[in-house]
Amino acid sequence: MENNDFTFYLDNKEFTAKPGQSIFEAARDQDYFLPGICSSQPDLGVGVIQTCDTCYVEVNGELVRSCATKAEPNMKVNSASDKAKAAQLEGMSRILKNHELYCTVCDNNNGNCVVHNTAEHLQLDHQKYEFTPKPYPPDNSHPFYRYEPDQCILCGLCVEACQDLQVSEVLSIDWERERPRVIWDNDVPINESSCVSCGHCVSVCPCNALMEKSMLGKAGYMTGIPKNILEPMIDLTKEVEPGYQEIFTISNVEAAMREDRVNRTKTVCTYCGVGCSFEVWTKDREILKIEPTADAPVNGISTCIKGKFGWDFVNSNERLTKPLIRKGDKFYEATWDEALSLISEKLVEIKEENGPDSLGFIASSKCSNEENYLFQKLARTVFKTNNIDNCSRYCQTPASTGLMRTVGIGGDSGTIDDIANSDLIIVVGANPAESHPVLSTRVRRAHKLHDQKLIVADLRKHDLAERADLHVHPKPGTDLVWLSAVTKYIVDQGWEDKKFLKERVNHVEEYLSSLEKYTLDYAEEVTGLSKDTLIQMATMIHKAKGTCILWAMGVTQHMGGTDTSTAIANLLLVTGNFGKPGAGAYPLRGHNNVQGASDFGTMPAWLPGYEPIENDEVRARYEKAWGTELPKKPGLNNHQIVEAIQAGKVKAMYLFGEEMGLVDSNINYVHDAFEKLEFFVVQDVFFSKTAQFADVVLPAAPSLEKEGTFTNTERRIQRFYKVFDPLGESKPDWEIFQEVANKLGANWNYSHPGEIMEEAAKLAPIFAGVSYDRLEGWNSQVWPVEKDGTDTPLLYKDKFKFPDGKARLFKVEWTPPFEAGEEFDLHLNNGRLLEHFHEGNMTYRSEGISYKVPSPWLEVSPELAKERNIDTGALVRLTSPYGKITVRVWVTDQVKGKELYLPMNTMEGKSAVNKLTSSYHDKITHTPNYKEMQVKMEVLERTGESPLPHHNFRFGNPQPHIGVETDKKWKRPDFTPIPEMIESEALTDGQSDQAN
Amino acid sequence: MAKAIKQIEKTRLTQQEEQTEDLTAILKLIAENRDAITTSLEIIGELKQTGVLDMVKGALKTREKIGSIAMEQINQPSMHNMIRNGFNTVEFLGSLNPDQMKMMLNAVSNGLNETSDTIGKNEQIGLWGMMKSFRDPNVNTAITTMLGFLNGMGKEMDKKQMH
Repeated sequence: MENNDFTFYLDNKEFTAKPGQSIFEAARDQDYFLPGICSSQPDLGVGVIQTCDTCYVEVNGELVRSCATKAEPNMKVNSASDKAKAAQLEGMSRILKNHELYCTVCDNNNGNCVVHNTAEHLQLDHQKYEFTPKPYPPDNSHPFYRYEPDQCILCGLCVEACQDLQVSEVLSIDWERERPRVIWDNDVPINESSCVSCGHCVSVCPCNALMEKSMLGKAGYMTGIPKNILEPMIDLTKEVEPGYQEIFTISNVEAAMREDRVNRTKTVCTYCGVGCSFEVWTKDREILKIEPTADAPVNGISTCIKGKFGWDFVNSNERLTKPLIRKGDKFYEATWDEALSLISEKLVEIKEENGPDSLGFIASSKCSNEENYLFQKLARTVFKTNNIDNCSRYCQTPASTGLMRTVGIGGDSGTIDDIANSDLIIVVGANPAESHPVLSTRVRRAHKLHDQKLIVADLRKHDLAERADLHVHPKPGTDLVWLSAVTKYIVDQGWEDKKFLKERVNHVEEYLSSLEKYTLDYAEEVTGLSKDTLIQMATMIHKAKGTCILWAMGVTQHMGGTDTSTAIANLLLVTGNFGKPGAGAYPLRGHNNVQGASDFGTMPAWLPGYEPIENDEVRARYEKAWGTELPKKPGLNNHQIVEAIQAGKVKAMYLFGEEMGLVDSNINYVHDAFEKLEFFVVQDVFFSKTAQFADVVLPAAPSLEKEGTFTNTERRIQRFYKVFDPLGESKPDWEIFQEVANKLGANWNYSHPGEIMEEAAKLAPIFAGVSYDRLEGWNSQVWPVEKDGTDTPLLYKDKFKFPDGKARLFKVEWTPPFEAGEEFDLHLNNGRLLEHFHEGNMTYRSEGISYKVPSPWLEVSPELAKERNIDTGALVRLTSPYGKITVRVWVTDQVKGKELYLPMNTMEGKSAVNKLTSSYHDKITHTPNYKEMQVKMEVLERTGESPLPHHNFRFGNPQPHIGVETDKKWKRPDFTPIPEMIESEALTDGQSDQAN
Repeated sequence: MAKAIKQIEKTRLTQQEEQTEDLTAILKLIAENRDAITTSLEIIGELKQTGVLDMVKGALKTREKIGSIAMEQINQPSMHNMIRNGFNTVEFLGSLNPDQMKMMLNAVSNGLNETSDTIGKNEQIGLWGMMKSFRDPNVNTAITTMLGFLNGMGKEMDKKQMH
């Protein structure tokens, strides 16, 4: 018991409660069941919803809602008195007026139906009020879920989830109409609303009113029965009405039987770096639904469209199921043995002829920690080269490097909880609402409900920019200048954290003097931001108790990407925003395992855990464990490998899980390099653009078909489990690496990924206490993890990751962005969008997602559209010095003036943004400057069909308000408060003919 | 030097090869489960002989039609009563005290035995004879029990009417 905890009595038993806890919460925390349908999702809402009225208890003879009444010391609460029971039953009866109990033939009868379980608990036997259908047909318009008003109990959990957790603000209950119902936007079909298909509403629905379409008719033994038999069956059940207890018995048996064929497996999402985990419900190879749970450490019950609905690709008939070998101008299917023999033979031949560094290895930020670990072990021990890198080079290496320079660890300073609880969030060059959807919900929620302040610096007026207290639009590529100017202004005002700087930071004087030139005047001139705006930003940081800065590719994919990341860390250091909750630096990792791939050593200069390969001591430790000598010299990174191929130095390449042929910059140049390779192995789930250049293509198994761990943007390691067997002859990547190694006599003998993690944990100090046992189920560990399993959700509490424990301020200079030349008059911005992942190899295989977003588009500002006399649907050609593409236009005020935005989601070449980008790169890390390009635009067709269909959420009409607005329910003339009614009816007589 | 190519030649198994592959797999399963399969075959043989198999086949093939006919038939007031009565009876049986019930049933059984003695004799009993019988301890016990029963039944009936 903690200090302030106290005791109260519920049903004559002693209970402990924390101050401020409701009776309901205290009971729940001690596993004592009180009915309470609308309290079944504790993460939701501004507080208690109070719509279901099933949680009544008696306190001092009064009936009160246990969810809304705080427990008090020595309070005596009775939930089982006649009066309390009568009130609970009345609440339940009112609910069942809105909901037909046909549980046995209901797809939601899976043992976790809250309405079913509550009615059963209350031993409800007969319906007091007759069920009457609502005068609305079911809404089946949306591709992924349906709303059945007749089953809707109007608890409003979906509304709370949409308004106050996801904060898309689409759903509400219209309490004014005669029969209330949930409406989308201002009452339009779901499919035409601003619904972003995140699935929150469906996940929290306590019954079957909102259901995934993939469940309907599939989950139960009898739910697939044709309508002409099912309806009379329901009628019959109602007619004979043996009493609900008997119905519950039968439905419970049926629910138990479902366990035999419906499997529930925990997995970790692969669609971004947030690291959502949830259960996958399957029947044979069919995915019935994604079921998030409050136990998930990062996302709780939150998901986005891709995580909730985007898994069809796993069963796509376009999956690679057999190895392919190129012969002439065709690929031929081959056996594993043929493919592996050819690979080992060719790679060894090239290595022996040209030396180990004629080989290049590209790892995958989509694959597991164990697979990345094995791949670098393969490159380093079997092929003796450090030419190994992963795709974080394309996105986040500058952020990591900026942090390693200043605070010592290339990762987020804290967790999603720190972001949610921070006083001030600054988002620079990132669009979390689309790229890190679930993380953005925490910002939107804190901003809407908890007075969190929000500054967004971005070229586009995206979702968070729209909501921000301050949206600034600096000139492209000038972030370093305003960041430094704001830092200088803070120091000039004497607002810096002097104590923090004195005790915990080195190079203070040197750094501060380097800020001299970043005056407000200079910053205004370079960035285009007014002095007032800069002062406003500085003031907001000064006033906030803690500041988190979130950034992504808008910062990193520049020639000065590392320096701008460093400037962010400098600003945070000067203001003392490290090592405390609700503060810190948060580079938002783009893919599920960008963090983990680098953590586990697929980098040219680092062994697992960021230990330098050049360090003799470190290398000796690995050499001893692996029983072989390792090359000392750091190898080539992605970018340098491509250059070395062009120069004829690298002759063979082995790449897995990476669509380099579309996502590297200046892809015409990259394709040209691929063509020059003597031997190229591509290992993937699909026959990608990159695979077209391969000599051998190996069929890999995606995350749902294997076990492993991923590390998310928070540095959190989470396990995922096998849902299906690998399709066809495809294999988990780690098994393939082991087979390649063993073909060459390595004699590896891993039978489970857990053994690989065990080896890594023994070797890399920052993972010392990581183990599969400790990661079982929903458990997770945030590295560094000590040997005893203690992990580190918040970094730098006591010291920074340098020998003396002090951080380092690091001087940086601004690098003006690349200029393509005067004729290229439009700035080309690019990046992701909500619905598709990356280039789209996975998400385009989802029928529903492709229906919502069938093709990429070009965002053009209304000003530019007017100037060029074009409209949405126009077809244009964009030309840069490096290539050209054609794409259709969407005119939107998300972009301004002469700035364009082109999403990167295309599986075909003709709209691929990277035909336009250059090979210029960040000076320090070689990350391409994707965000620095100008183009010219020719109009090919002035009008045409919109590339974005009308039924996309971007055309919706959100209706923001706080929560479900229960007071409107209470104001209805037909509403009688339950205590009032029970008192007037003198207790338990259940035969009232009252109307509600 | 390798240009991007898209053509994939799939090794297509001939129909016969595919069949052979499938058959081998099935044969393996059969061999592994020899006992179970032999028994199953015997059962199926019996079912065929008795005609059950044909019936089941017919029913399965026309399942949707039969289902809706059956539901139509079942979904009738008389059927509703029957099901309800069924549920009530089951509930009734569950609520009885087995010891009491055993005693009652034994008593009824013995009563029936005695009845069979008097049946066929066509004896008439006068009012006096009846009064005299009441004094018989056996008859008296039975009547007292009956009166208790009627008392309880009446109470329950009154309760229902009050509502």
